[in-house]
Amino acid sequence: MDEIELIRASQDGDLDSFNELVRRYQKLAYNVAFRMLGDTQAAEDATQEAFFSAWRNIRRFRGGSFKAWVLQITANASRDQLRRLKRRPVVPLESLPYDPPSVSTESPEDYAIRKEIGEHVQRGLTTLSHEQRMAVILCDIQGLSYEEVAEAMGCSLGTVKSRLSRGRTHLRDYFVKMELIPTELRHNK
Amino acid sequence: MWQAFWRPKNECSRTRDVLSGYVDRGLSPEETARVEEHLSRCQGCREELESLRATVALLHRLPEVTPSRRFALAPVKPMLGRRVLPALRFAAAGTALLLVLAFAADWTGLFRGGIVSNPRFGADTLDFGGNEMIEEGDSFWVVAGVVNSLSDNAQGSMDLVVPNHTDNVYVAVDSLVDDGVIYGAMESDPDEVPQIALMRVDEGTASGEDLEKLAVVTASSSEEHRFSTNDGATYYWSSIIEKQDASYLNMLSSDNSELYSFNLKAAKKEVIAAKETDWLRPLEYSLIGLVAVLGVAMAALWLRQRRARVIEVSDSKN
Repeated sequence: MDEIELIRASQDGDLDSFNELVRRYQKLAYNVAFRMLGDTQAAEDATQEAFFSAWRNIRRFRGGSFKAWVLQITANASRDQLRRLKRRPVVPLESLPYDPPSVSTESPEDYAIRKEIGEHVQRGLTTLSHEQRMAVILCDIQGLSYEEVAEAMGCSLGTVKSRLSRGRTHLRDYFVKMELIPTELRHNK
Repeated sequence: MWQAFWRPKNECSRTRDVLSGYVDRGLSPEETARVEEHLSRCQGCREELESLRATVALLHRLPEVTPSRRFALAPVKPMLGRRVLPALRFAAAGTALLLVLAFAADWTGLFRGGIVSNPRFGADTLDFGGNEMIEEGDSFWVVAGVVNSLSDNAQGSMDLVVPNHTDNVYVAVDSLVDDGVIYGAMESDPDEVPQIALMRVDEGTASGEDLEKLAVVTASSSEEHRFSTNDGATYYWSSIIEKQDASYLNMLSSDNSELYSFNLKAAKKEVIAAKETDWLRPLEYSLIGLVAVLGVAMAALWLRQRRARVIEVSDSKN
């Protein structure tokens, strides 16, 4: 079944069709939530909450990009989770899990460096405002187009561009402070 | 360190504002050309661009993460509460509305039987109910300040006013003058101050022409206590004497020659007592109980629903 049929069936209350949509989008939603929150448990909770909310509100989906719709709900769920985390902060950043490289061509040293850099980048993301973080995650990590980001964030293209620009500049400053960028530049050359 | 490559502000800051877009190749051809032209001349902005590219590259390199579980939803049987809850809400709202209406009705005296509005007096009339014969031994509630219609099958209706009294009283007919029954006849010009005549009928003379008018009660506020008879004598509503279980309303003629005593059974106290205990009727108690039961039921259903919602999440790890 293609996506439109699945959505229509879901709107008619077919949970199996909806779960097929969940299967297709859960990794994207989870990754976005994880980058927003920096915590696996919170990201899982946010993702579950997002799909719950999607199921409850599936009838309100009136066409357009389903992906953007899911991402919008995920962003909201992440925001709720963030508020919950702020009330009782439990974010052990040191224990952020990173998938071991599936094709292990890199040395343990490289992997350790990559893991450390990953943690720094994630930490840098959490210094951004919610909107800037969402724009950076959707555009630079998930590779969405400006248009898709605008739809997922429910704002204009201009707003996306300015959030992205500010977010990147802010992150750049953070990376410079953490001495991540000079290292990267050297590696790249 | 980027400040070291500072350039004239307008040009550099204009360029830097759009560098993020330039990184994504999202600028118009003209703007792209302008940026590239500036970059060829400005080391600072080139560094800025490189740093932004490096930032984006770092973000690109973040690995995709895999959740440790699936997020599929498991079907659950439709909850009883889902169907019952809206109905319960509706019922509770309706009951609450009824309760409010019941209180309002009680407050405005709707439950007190027989009172209807009398436009002529702008007050309430207590209707004792049509065709019953007034006889010795009868007794009636008389509402203060309003027209109380008594009726008799021979005489038609009779109005009795107890003006300027703070509460309802109870009139016992058997305590009127010894050898007769007092009838009242409402007979006055509508344009004038309303008056009520109290008349005595001796036994055996029940026809209207033979009525002896004892007193006329005027409803004007200044002379509420004064009655005048048809022969010109004036009677005063002189006193109310409280005894153990009854009050006596005494009417005294102006020359003190005649005293008529009406037995007003201790109504005032009863009414006050009744007001204290009677403000909530059984109906209202039942409604409150119903609302309480509905509230508890809804709370229980809500809790069950919350639990059910948690069950609905498929937490399978496969």
